[in-house]
Amino acid sequence: MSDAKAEVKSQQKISAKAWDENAVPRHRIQWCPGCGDFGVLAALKMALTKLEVTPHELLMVGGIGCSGQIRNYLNGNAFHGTHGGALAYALGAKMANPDLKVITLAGDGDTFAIGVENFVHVCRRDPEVMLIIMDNGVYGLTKGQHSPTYGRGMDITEWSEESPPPFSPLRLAMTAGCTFVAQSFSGDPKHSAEIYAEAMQHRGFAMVNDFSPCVTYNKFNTYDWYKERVEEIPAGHNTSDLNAAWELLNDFDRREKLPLGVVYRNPRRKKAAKRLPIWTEDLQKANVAPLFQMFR
Amino acid sequence: MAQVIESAQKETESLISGSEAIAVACKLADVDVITAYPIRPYDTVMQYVAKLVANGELDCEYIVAESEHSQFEIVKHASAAGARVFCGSSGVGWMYAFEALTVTPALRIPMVAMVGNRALDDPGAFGVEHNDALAVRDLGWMLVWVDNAQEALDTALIAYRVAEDRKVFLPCAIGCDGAFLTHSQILVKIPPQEWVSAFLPPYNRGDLLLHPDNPITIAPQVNEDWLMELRKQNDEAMKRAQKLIPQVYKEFTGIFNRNYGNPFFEEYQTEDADVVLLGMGTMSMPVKVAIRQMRKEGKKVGFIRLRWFRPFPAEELAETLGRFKAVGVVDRDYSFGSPNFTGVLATEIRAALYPAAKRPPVLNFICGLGGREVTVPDVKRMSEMLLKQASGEKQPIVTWVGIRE
Repeated sequence: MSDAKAEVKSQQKISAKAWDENAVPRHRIQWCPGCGDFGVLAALKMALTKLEVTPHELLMVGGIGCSGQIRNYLNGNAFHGTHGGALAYALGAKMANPDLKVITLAGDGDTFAIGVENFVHVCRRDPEVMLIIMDNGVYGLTKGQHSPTYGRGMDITEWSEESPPPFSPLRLAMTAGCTFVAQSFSGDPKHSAEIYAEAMQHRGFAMVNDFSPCVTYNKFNTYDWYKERVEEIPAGHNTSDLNAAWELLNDFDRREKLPLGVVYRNPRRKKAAKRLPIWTEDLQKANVAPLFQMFR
Repeated sequence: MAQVIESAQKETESLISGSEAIAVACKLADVDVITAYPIRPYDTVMQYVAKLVANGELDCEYIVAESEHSQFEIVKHASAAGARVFCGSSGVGWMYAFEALTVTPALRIPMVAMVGNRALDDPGAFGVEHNDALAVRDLGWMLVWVDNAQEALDTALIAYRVAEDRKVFLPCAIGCDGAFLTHSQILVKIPPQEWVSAFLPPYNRGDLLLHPDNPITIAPQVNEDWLMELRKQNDEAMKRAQKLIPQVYKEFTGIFNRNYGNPFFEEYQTEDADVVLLGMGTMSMPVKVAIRQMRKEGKKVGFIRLRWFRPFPAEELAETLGRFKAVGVVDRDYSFGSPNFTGVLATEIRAALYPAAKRPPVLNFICGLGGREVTVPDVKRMSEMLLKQASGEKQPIVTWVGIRE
């Protein structure tokens, strides 16, 4: 960080309140009372405050849906993406300005249905971007249609073409090469805040799947349903061991529990690489006369 | 078939919205496969379809797809395999499906879709604009706009009848203004199943059916060898659709005893009108109210509501418009950089008038974008400008009405 930037930062009072400035009450919160996204908002404020991030350093890219609204309720730079496109915007912004701390805030429908191609390939590209998925199993903003994570804990019906079973965001992330895979529960914002803070410090793409119940349209996966099933990952879990991560997921599935915490964290070793020579410099030194002679 | 069927079954009346009317039409048409992906205001159709399926009233495959693109691809191929299909979207959702939309008419798929017209955000807006549906206007989609829930239900049945005619086999999109129609309820007459079954025969794809017993290839690589001939076939199909539409409306009237008059456009107080406004969709309501008020002041203003935008009734419309001293085209859309910077509809009307014997001056009004209301004062202002133009006082070609300057 440059000296000038450090000075700006020291002048700003870093407090949880700073995140409310310019955000509340200019934007009246539109979530339903009891929405899981309130827990995510609280946890995110805690994490940002803990890491002493300042609003001007932050870019929040929101997806479409109730979840994407969260960027309106926090101070800082914000961008509203297209449906499924939030991660692509985040990737572009991070490439153009690596100094930005980029957080993508999207829902499960946004990330795993219409935006699944962005999700998979951002996992591969591994930019220093954090993604929080507010996973409620439904498209809440349009009155509760089922998303790809709907049906958690339900029996699979024979009508699977119409009502396919849910898939695991964590397993998809690991398969696609995500280097930070974690899960949190908005009913426990303090724990979520710790996970978010770790994700924000990860040197690569960090995905946190947050169970954020939709109290209006998902009457099955409720707070109580999650409370009975979530379980923190044991302290001894080796997060850098991919096999251990898969085994952990299998173990939780067998016990019909849902892991909370960091499942896998393993920053990639990236080899230094140089691009092609710059025409104006390196190439001018080259002797191209023999090459031209060949074609005469 | 042009006769009211003697039936023990009677029409019922129900207070329903435009979206629900479309869902009811799907039930009456016994649609086989419906796909959907949520976006406002189209999602209202989804909830009514889901309700019909859940209640056992509609026996169909109902798939909430992973995006609009997969949504339209699924029904496209279901239709190729012989299923009657329904689909739809709104605004940018419709645009997300664009690749699938372009190939649907090319493959001669008689899909019926509902477009809950919505502005193309960004910046975010849920309100009506017609640019979403109009984006497919050159591709072989039939496009029709309706202005109330009754017409939405009836037109959906008519759309299936026209689209699935072997001489046509083109998709048809029904434009329903977001919020103003999709969410507005009126008392709708719901016909008995018997009438609908008599009007709408089962979908028969004939020799184009994708089936193991009928080995054919759909969408092969044809390049310059055949593509031009195939495009010409689409052109001919659209021409045949234009001829077929009046026949189908006639049959509709015979069975359902509801007469829409000229199927292509509705005329309101035009008999003695000096000038007319012309537009599509739900703007008809404020326009008609304003006209009634102005008539009391002795101002002879009329209104023409265009229903079928594709196929476009150019000759008939041009002949009708020739009766007036000035025509004001109200566009609920935009077409940046178009000739004279008018809206889409104005350009079409001017093109239709060019070969006509009588060519009244055409003014264009861009109005009601992004869901902004077309108000009665807006309509009066447009009409005053038209009357001035008619009396020889020249007016600008394009005026944006109801905009903050």
